[in-house]
Amino acid sequence: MSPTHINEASVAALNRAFQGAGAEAILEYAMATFHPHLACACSFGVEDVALLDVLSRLDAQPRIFFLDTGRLHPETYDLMAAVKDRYGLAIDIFFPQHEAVEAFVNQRGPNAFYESLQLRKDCCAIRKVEPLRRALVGAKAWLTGLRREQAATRSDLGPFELDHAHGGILKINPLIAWSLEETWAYVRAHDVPTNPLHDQGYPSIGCAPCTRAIGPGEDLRAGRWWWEAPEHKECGLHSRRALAKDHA
Amino acid sequence: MSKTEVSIPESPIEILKRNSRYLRGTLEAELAGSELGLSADAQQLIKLHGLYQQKSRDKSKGPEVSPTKPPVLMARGRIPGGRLDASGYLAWDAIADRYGDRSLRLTTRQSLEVHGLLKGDLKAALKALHSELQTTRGACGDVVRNVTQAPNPWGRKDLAQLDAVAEALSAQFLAHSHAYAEVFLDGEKVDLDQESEPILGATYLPRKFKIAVTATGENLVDLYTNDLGFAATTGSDGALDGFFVFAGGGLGMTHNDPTTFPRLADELGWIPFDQLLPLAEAVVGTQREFGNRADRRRARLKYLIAARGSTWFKDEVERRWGSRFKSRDLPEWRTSPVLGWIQREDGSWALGFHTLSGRIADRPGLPLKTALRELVRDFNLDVQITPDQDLILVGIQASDRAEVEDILQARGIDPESPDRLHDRALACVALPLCGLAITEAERALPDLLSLLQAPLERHGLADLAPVFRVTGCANGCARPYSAELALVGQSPGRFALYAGGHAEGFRLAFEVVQKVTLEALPELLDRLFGFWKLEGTAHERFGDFAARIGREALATALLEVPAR
Repeated sequence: MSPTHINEASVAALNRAFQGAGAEAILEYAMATFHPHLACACSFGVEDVALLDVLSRLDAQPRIFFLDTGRLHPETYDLMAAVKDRYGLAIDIFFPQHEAVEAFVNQRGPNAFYESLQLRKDCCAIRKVEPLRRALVGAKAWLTGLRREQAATRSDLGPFELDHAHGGILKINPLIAWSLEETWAYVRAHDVPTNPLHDQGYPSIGCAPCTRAIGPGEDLRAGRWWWEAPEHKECGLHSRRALAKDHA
Repeated sequence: MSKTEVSIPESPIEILKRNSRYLRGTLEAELAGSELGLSADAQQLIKLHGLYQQKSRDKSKGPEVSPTKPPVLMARGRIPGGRLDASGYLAWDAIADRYGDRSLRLTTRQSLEVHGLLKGDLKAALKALHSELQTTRGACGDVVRNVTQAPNPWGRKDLAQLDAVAEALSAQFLAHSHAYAEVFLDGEKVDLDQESEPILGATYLPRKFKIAVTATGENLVDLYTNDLGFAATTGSDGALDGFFVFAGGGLGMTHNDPTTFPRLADELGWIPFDQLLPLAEAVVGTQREFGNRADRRRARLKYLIAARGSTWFKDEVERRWGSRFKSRDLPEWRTSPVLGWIQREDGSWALGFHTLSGRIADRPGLPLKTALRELVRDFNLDVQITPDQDLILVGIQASDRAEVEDILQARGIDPESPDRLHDRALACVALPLCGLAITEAERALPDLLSLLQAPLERHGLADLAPVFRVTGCANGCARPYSAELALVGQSPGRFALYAGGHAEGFRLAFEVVQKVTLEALPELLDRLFGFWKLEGTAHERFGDFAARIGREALATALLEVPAR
C-alpha cells in the first residue's frame, strides 16, 4: 500500500491526474491503495453489474454491499440471485432499522413518500442513507457505478470525491466517463446479467413505488421520483450538499 | 511500417509473448512441477511478472545449479514513486526473512528487491506481499516499469501532487492481463476471449519502457535517462498546471558496437496538466507500433527516435495525441539533498538514510535491517525509496526524534553518509547474481570509494567529490553514463573509465580510457584529480571540468606517466 492522505488537495490532484484514465486503471489504483478498507456499493443497476464484472476479474475483490430497502422490484432480487450465482461473489446485504421503518410507516402511512419532498427524503434517509452509513463502517474508500451523464446534479463529477457525508472518506467512481451506450456495450460484450426492467423502459431503477418507466426523449432519471422537480432527484446516498457548502 | 522492416524476422521474445496467452505460458505448470528451475521460455516470460531466475556465478562455490543448490528467483516490486506505508515495507521485510536471503535491495528505480527465493516458495511469497497490497506486476520485462518520482522528504506541496501523477501513470499502463492472479495468487481462471490489452497490445512493448515524474528544478530522478519524463510546473494558485515532456532517454549500450549508445531524452515541449495521460498514451503507442521488434539491443524508444529523427517522432506523437506541444523556457536543474534529518512543512521530521548500493541487511555489529524494521513498525512510518538507492523514513514526530536517534545509536547505525563521495555513489548488482555482469560492481564499491576518497582528500577536493557510479557491464543499470565519473565493466577485471556527465544528469559522460584494472586505478585517479586541481577553475565540478577540457586532454594527462 502506498501512503495516502485523503484531503481536498489530494482528491483534486487525483482527479486531475486520472483524467482520461480507464476504469481498470482507476480500480487498480483503488485496490492497490485501499484494500481491504475498500467497499463497493451495488444496487444492481446496469452500471453496477458492469462494475461487478470488472471487479470479478481483479486479483482481489473489495467488500461488496447491497442496500435492501424492503420496497424493491421482484426483478431486482432475481438479478441479485443470478449475479451471486454467476460470479460467486460475497455480497453483504444491509436492511433498514426495523424500529425506524415501523415508526415511519405506522405514523405516516405506507406511501407517505408521495405526499411531500420532506417525507420522501425521510423515507430515503431511513431505508437507504442510514444503512449506507453502517455499510461504510471501517471503509477508507468506496466504489460506486455513478456516471457523469446520469443527472443534472452530477454533471461536474470526477472519478474521485471527498465524501464529507461519511467522515471524509474517498468516494471513487470508476465508470464516471462511461456513456450509457458504452455501459450497455460492455455488459453485452461480457454477457453480464442485467435487470429485465431495463428492457421495459426503466433506465434507472430504485425502489418500486418511486421508479417508473420513461418515455421517448425523457431524461434518463426522469423515472425516479417522477413527481418531483429534477434538482431534487437524489436519494441522499450521493449527496453533495456538504461539498457545495464548502465551496460557497 | 515499410516493407523492408516487415521482412526482418521478429525476435524470439516477440513470438514467446504473442504465444503466451497473455503472459500465462507454461508458468503455472512449471511452478507446480518438480524441476529445480524454470525452462528458458518461462525464464523470459516470468520477467513480465517482476521476477527473474538468478544464477550464482561464484565459481569458488561449486557448480551454478545442483540439487543441493537449486536456482533461486528475484522478486522486484512495482512501487510507484518508491512510496510505501509501514505495512507495505514490513511485508517486504518479512518475506525477505521468511523466503529470501534475509536482505532487501533498494533499486535505482525506487523499488525493492528480494533475492534468493526458491521456486516452491514463490507463490507463498507473492501471496504474502499481495495481502499487504504489494505486487511485482510489470516490474521487469517489456512493459512500462515502475514509475519513478521526485522524493519529497520536505513534504513540499508541489512535489506531493506528483503522488497522484505517478499513481495514474502506473495504473494506466499496467498490463490488463489477469495472468498474475491466476498463476501466482490462485485467482479465478479468466476466459482468454475476455482478455485484452487495449494499451500495451498483445505482444506488449518492444522493450522495457521507463517513465519518471518530477517538478522542474529537481532532477534526482535522472529524468533524461528515461524513455518518457515529465517535469511539472506550478501555477499561481500552487496547483500543478502542466509538464515539460522529455522522451527517448536510455543508458544501455554494448561495448564497441557503435549502433548502440547511451542517449539523453529530448525536450519535446510543454503540455497542460490535463493532457498527461493522453500524451503518455501517444508516446507509448508510438513505441508500441514502430519500435524495433527484431533486434532487442536496439529496441528502446531512443533508437526509434535516433533512426527516424526527432521531427518525425514529435509529429507522430502529436498526430496520435491530437494536440501540439507548447514552447516554454525550462528552468535550471538542481538536486536538493535528501539525506539526513529534514524538517517537513507540517513540523514532523524525515530521516534520509544513506545505504551503500541499496543493501539492507543485518551484518555483525550493524543490524541495519532490524533497525529499520523496528523504526518503521514502532513509529508507524511511511517510507520513500530514492533513485540513488537510499531510503527516507517519513512522519517522525518531533517528540519522537530523540528516541529514534537513541535507538540508532544503541544499534551502532549512522544514517548519515560518511562523506560527499558516498552521498550519491551507485553500483549495480553485478557479480555474483547478474547474468550479464562481466566485472564486480556492488561488492567492489566500498573499496572503490576508498580508492577515490584518498586522492580526493590528498588534493583537497573531497568537498567537490564527483557523482560516481560503477556497473558490471555496459547496460548501464546504475546510470554510469550520466555520472560525473564512472567505471563500466568491460572485460574480466577491467573497466572503461567515463567522465564528463553533469551532476544534475542532463549531460552525458564520455569514455576516456578503456580496460583499466583496479591495480592501475589509484595512480590513474591521482593523476586525474591532480589535473582537475591544477587546471580546474574555482569550485568547478569534476564533470564540468572534464566536459570543458575534453576527452583528448584528459586521456593525454592520464598517459603522461606510464601506468604501473
